[in-house]
Amino acid sequence: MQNSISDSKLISLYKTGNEEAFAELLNRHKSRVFTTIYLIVKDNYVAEDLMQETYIKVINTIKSGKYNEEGKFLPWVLRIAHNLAIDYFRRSKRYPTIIMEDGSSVFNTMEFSEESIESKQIVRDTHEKLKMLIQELPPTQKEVLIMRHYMEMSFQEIAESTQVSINTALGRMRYALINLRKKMKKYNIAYDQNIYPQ
Amino acid sequence: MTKTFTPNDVLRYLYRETNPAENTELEEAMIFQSDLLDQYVQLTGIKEQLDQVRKSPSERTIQAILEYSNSHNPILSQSQ
Repeated sequence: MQNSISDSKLISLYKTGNEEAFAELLNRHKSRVFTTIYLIVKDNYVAEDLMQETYIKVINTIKSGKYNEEGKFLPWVLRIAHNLAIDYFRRSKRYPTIIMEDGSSVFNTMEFSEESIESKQIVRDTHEKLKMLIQELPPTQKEVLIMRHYMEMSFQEIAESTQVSINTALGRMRYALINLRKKMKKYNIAYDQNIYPQ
Repeated sequence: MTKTFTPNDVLRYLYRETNPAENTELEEAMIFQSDLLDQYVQLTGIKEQLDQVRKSPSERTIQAILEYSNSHNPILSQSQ
Protein backbone atom coordinates (compact mmCIF):
# COMPACT_ATOMS: atom_id res chain seq x y z
CA MET A 1 0.00 0.00 0.00
CA GLN A 2 1.44 3.39 -0.93
CA ASN A 3 2.54 5.89 1.69
CA SER A 4 0.61 8.65 -0.11
CA ILE A 5 -2.70 7.34 1.23
CA SER A 6 -3.70 9.52 4.16
CA ASP A 7 -4.32 8.16 7.64
CA SER A 8 -7.91 9.31 7.33
CA LYS A 9 -8.43 7.31 4.14
CA LEU A 10 -6.82 4.23 5.70
CA ILE A 11 -9.18 4.50 8.67
CA SER A 12 -12.16 4.69 6.32
CA LEU A 13 -10.95 1.53 4.58
CA TYR A 14 -10.34 -0.15 7.91
CA LYS A 15 -13.86 0.64 9.06
CA THR A 16 -15.17 -1.36 6.12
CA GLY A 17 -13.10 -4.35 7.17
CA ASN A 18 -9.89 -3.77 5.20
CA GLU A 19 -7.27 -5.25 7.54
CA GLU A 20 -4.45 -4.34 5.16
CA ALA A 21 -5.27 -0.68 5.75
CA PHE A 22 -4.88 -1.20 9.48
CA ALA A 23 -1.57 -3.03 8.99
CA GLU A 24 -0.32 0.00 7.04
CA LEU A 25 -1.43 2.40 9.78
CA LEU A 26 0.23 0.28 12.42
CA ASN A 27 3.46 -0.01 10.47
CA ARG A 28 3.50 3.69 9.62
CA HIS A 29 3.39 4.87 13.24
CA LYS A 30 4.74 1.94 15.27
CA SER A 31 8.18 3.44 16.03
CA ARG A 32 6.85 6.78 17.17
CA VAL A 33 4.21 5.21 19.42
CA PHE A 34 6.64 2.64 20.83
CA THR A 35 9.41 5.19 21.46
CA THR A 36 6.98 7.45 23.32
CA ILE A 37 5.92 4.58 25.58
CA TYR A 38 9.46 3.32 26.09
CA LEU A 39 10.84 6.71 27.12
CA ILE A 40 8.24 6.90 29.88
CA VAL A 41 8.29 3.33 31.24
CA LYS A 42 11.99 2.63 30.53
CA ASP A 43 11.46 -1.08 30.02
CA ASN A 44 11.14 -3.03 26.78
CA TYR A 45 8.82 -5.73 28.09
CA VAL A 46 6.41 -3.27 29.64
CA ALA A 47 6.56 -1.08 26.53
CA GLU A 48 5.63 -4.08 24.35
CA ASP A 49 2.61 -4.80 26.58
CA LEU A 50 1.49 -1.18 26.61
CA MET A 51 1.90 -1.01 22.83
CA GLN A 52 -0.59 -3.87 22.55
CA GLU A 53 -2.94 -2.27 25.08
CA THR A 54 -2.81 0.99 23.16
CA TYR A 55 -3.77 -0.65 19.88
CA ILE A 56 -6.48 -2.78 21.50
CA LYS A 57 -8.12 0.48 22.54
CA VAL A 58 -7.58 1.90 19.05
CA ILE A 59 -9.09 -1.17 17.38
CA ASN A 60 -12.05 -1.32 19.75
CA THR A 61 -12.81 2.37 19.32
CA ILE A 62 -12.61 2.33 15.52
CA LYS A 63 -14.45 -0.95 15.06
CA SER A 64 -17.27 0.10 17.37
CA GLY A 65 -17.77 3.26 15.31
CA LYS A 66 -16.75 5.57 18.16
CA TYR A 67 -13.66 7.07 16.51
CA ASN A 68 -13.94 10.83 16.15
CA GLU A 69 -13.03 11.78 12.58
CA GLU A 70 -12.35 15.39 13.55
CA GLY A 71 -9.12 14.63 15.36
CA LYS A 72 -5.92 13.44 13.74
CA PHE A 73 -5.12 9.76 14.06
CA LEU A 74 -1.51 9.86 15.28
CA PRO A 75 -1.98 12.48 18.04
CA TRP A 76 -4.99 10.45 19.23
CA VAL A 77 -3.00 7.19 19.36
CA LEU A 78 -0.09 8.95 21.05
CA ARG A 79 -2.43 10.37 23.69
CA ILE A 80 -3.74 6.88 24.47
CA ALA A 81 -0.17 5.53 24.62
CA HIS A 82 1.00 8.41 26.79
CA ASN A 83 -1.89 8.00 29.26
CA LEU A 84 -1.34 4.25 29.57
CA ALA A 85 2.40 4.75 30.08
CA ILE A 86 1.87 7.44 32.71
CA ASP A 87 -0.69 5.23 34.50
CA TYR A 88 1.81 2.38 34.51
CA PHE A 89 4.60 4.66 35.71
CA ARG A 90 2.48 5.90 38.63
CA ARG A 91 1.35 2.38 39.56
CA SER A 92 4.91 1.03 39.43
CA LYS A 93 6.03 3.81 41.75
CA ARG A 94 3.52 2.56 44.32
CA TYR A 95 4.18 -1.14 43.75
CA PRO A 96 7.77 -1.61 42.63
CA THR A 97 8.33 -4.71 40.52
CA ILE A 98 11.45 -6.69 39.79
CA ILE A 99 12.28 -6.63 36.11
CA MET A 100 14.65 -9.10 34.53
CA GLU A 101 17.33 -7.47 32.45
CA ASP A 102 18.30 -10.40 30.24
CA GLY A 103 17.12 -10.55 26.65
CA SER A 104 15.41 -7.18 26.76
CA SER A 105 16.95 -6.07 23.51
CA VAL A 106 16.54 -9.32 21.53
CA PHE A 107 13.29 -8.37 19.85
CA ASN A 108 13.99 -4.70 19.48
CA THR A 109 15.94 -2.92 16.82
CA MET A 110 17.27 0.58 16.52
CA GLU A 111 17.07 2.18 13.12
CA PHE A 112 20.42 2.97 11.51
CA SER A 113 21.61 4.14 8.16
CA GLU A 114 25.33 3.75 8.73
CA GLU A 115 27.41 1.26 6.79
CA SER A 116 30.16 -0.54 8.66
CA ILE A 117 29.78 -2.76 11.71
CA GLU A 118 32.09 -0.47 13.63
CA SER A 119 30.18 2.69 12.77
CA LYS A 120 26.92 0.90 13.56
CA GLN A 121 28.30 0.03 16.98
CA ILE A 122 29.40 3.59 17.64
CA VAL A 123 26.01 4.93 16.61
CA ARG A 124 24.25 2.26 18.67
CA ASP A 125 26.32 3.21 21.73
CA THR A 126 25.59 6.89 21.17
CA HIS A 127 21.84 6.29 20.84
CA GLU A 128 21.79 4.08 23.91
CA LYS A 129 23.62 6.77 25.86
CA LEU A 130 21.22 9.44 24.64
CA LYS A 131 18.24 7.32 25.74
CA MET A 132 19.83 6.98 29.19
CA LEU A 133 20.47 10.70 29.38
CA ILE A 134 16.83 11.44 28.52
CA GLN A 135 15.85 9.36 31.54
CA GLU A 136 18.18 11.43 33.72
CA LEU A 137 16.52 14.73 32.84
CA PRO A 138 14.40 16.46 35.51
CA PRO A 139 10.80 15.13 35.17
CA THR A 140 9.35 18.41 33.88
CA GLN A 141 12.03 18.67 31.16
CA LYS A 142 11.65 15.02 30.17
CA GLU A 143 7.87 15.41 29.95
CA VAL A 144 8.09 18.39 27.59
CA LEU A 145 10.78 16.70 25.50
CA ILE A 146 8.65 13.58 24.95
CA MET A 147 5.51 15.60 24.26
CA ARG A 148 7.17 17.95 21.75
CA HIS A 149 9.74 15.76 20.07
CA TYR A 150 8.07 12.36 19.98
CA MET A 151 4.36 13.12 20.38
CA GLU A 152 4.59 16.21 18.17
CA MET A 153 2.37 18.32 20.39
CA SER A 154 2.77 22.07 19.88
CA PHE A 155 4.24 24.17 22.67
CA GLN A 156 0.81 25.74 23.16
CA GLU A 157 -0.79 22.30 23.56
CA ILE A 158 1.95 21.27 26.00
CA ALA A 159 1.46 24.45 28.01
CA GLU A 160 -2.28 23.74 28.30
CA SER A 161 -1.76 20.07 29.06
CA THR A 162 0.80 20.70 31.80
CA GLN A 163 -0.89 23.87 33.06
CA VAL A 164 2.08 26.20 32.64
CA SER A 165 2.69 29.26 30.47
CA ILE A 166 3.98 28.73 26.95
CA ASN A 167 7.25 30.45 27.95
CA THR A 168 7.71 27.95 30.76
CA ALA A 169 7.11 25.06 28.35
CA LEU A 170 9.59 26.56 25.88
CA GLY A 171 12.13 27.16 28.65
CA ARG A 172 11.86 23.60 29.90
CA MET A 173 12.36 22.23 26.40
CA ARG A 174 15.34 24.47 25.79
CA TYR A 175 16.99 23.44 29.04
CA ALA A 176 16.26 19.79 28.23
CA LEU A 177 18.02 20.10 24.87
CA ILE A 178 20.93 22.10 26.30
CA ASN A 179 21.36 19.61 29.15
CA LEU A 180 21.36 16.69 26.73
CA ARG A 181 23.83 18.43 24.47
CA LYS A 182 26.26 19.13 27.34
CA LYS A 183 26.04 15.58 28.63
CA MET A 184 26.45 14.08 25.15
CA LYS A 185 29.50 16.25 24.57
CA LYS A 186 31.03 14.97 27.81
CA TYR A 187 30.16 11.40 26.85
CA ASN A 188 31.63 11.74 23.35
CA ILE A 189 34.93 13.01 24.75
CA ALA A 190 35.05 10.11 27.22
CA TYR A 191 34.03 7.63 24.49
CA ASP A 192 36.76 8.85 22.12
CA GLN A 193 39.41 8.60 24.83
CA ASN A 194 38.24 5.09 25.62
CA ILE A 195 38.39 3.90 22.02
CA TYR A 196 41.45 5.86 20.98
CA PRO A 197 43.58 6.09 24.17
CA GLN A 198 46.37 8.62 23.94
CA MET B 1 10.98 48.62 14.16
CA THR B 2 13.17 45.54 14.43
CA LYS B 3 11.72 42.78 16.54
CA THR B 4 13.85 41.44 19.37
CA PHE B 5 14.12 37.66 19.35
CA THR B 6 14.83 35.40 22.31
CA PRO B 7 16.27 31.88 22.56
CA ASN B 8 12.69 30.65 22.97
CA ASP B 9 11.90 32.06 19.52
CA VAL B 10 14.85 30.11 18.13
CA LEU B 11 13.35 26.97 19.64
CA ARG B 12 9.93 27.72 18.11
CA TYR B 13 11.68 28.25 14.76
CA LEU B 14 13.55 24.97 15.11
CA TYR B 15 10.27 23.12 15.70
CA ARG B 16 8.55 25.01 12.86
CA GLU B 17 6.13 26.88 15.06
CA THR B 18 7.00 30.33 13.72
CA ASN B 19 5.10 31.94 10.85
CA PRO B 20 6.74 32.85 7.51
CA ALA B 21 7.16 36.53 8.47
CA GLU B 22 8.86 35.57 11.75
CA ASN B 23 11.08 33.11 9.87
CA THR B 24 12.41 35.83 7.60
CA GLU B 25 13.01 38.24 10.46
CA LEU B 26 14.63 35.63 12.66
CA GLU B 27 16.90 34.40 9.87
CA GLU B 28 18.07 37.99 9.35
CA ALA B 29 18.51 38.51 13.07
CA MET B 30 20.69 35.42 13.29
CA ILE B 31 23.12 36.94 10.79
CA PHE B 32 23.83 39.84 13.12
CA GLN B 33 23.26 38.27 16.53
CA SER B 34 25.80 35.52 17.02
CA ASP B 35 24.18 34.40 20.30
CA LEU B 36 20.98 33.52 18.46
CA LEU B 37 22.91 31.69 15.77
CA ASP B 38 24.95 29.81 18.41
CA GLN B 39 21.72 28.79 20.10
CA TYR B 40 20.30 27.58 16.81
CA VAL B 41 23.39 25.53 15.95
CA GLN B 42 23.52 23.94 19.41
CA LEU B 43 19.84 23.03 19.47
CA THR B 44 19.85 21.74 15.89
CA GLY B 45 22.67 19.30 16.63
CA ILE B 46 20.96 17.63 19.57
CA LYS B 47 17.57 17.69 17.83
CA GLU B 48 19.06 15.71 14.95
CA GLN B 49 20.45 13.16 17.38
CA LEU B 50 17.06 12.85 19.07
CA ASP B 51 15.46 12.25 15.67
CA GLN B 52 17.55 9.11 15.36
CA VAL B 53 16.55 7.72 18.74
CA ARG B 54 13.70 5.51 17.68
CA LYS B 55 12.78 2.11 18.94
CA SER B 56 10.62 -0.44 17.22
CA PRO B 57 8.36 -2.97 18.89
CA SER B 58 9.04 -6.65 18.32
CA GLU B 59 7.52 -8.46 15.36
CA ARG B 60 5.71 -10.64 17.87
CA THR B 61 3.88 -7.61 19.28
CA ILE B 62 2.95 -6.39 15.82
CA GLN B 63 1.58 -9.82 14.92
CA ALA B 64 -0.42 -9.99 18.17
CA ILE B 65 -2.03 -6.62 17.40
CA LEU B 66 -2.85 -7.64 13.83
CA GLU B 67 -4.35 -10.92 15.04
CA TYR B 68 -6.48 -9.09 17.58
CA SER B 69 -7.74 -6.78 14.87
CA ASN B 70 -8.47 -9.69 12.53
CA SER B 71 -10.51 -11.46 15.19
CA HIS B 72 -12.77 -8.45 15.77
CA ASN B 73 -15.39 -7.78 13.13
CA PRO B 74 -16.31 -4.17 12.46
CA ILE B 75 -19.67 -2.93 13.64
CA LEU B 76 -20.71 -0.80 10.70
CA SER B 77 -22.71 2.33 11.41
CA GLN B 78 -26.37 2.37 10.38
CA SER B 79 -25.77 5.01 7.71
CA GLN B 80 -23.57 2.62 5.72
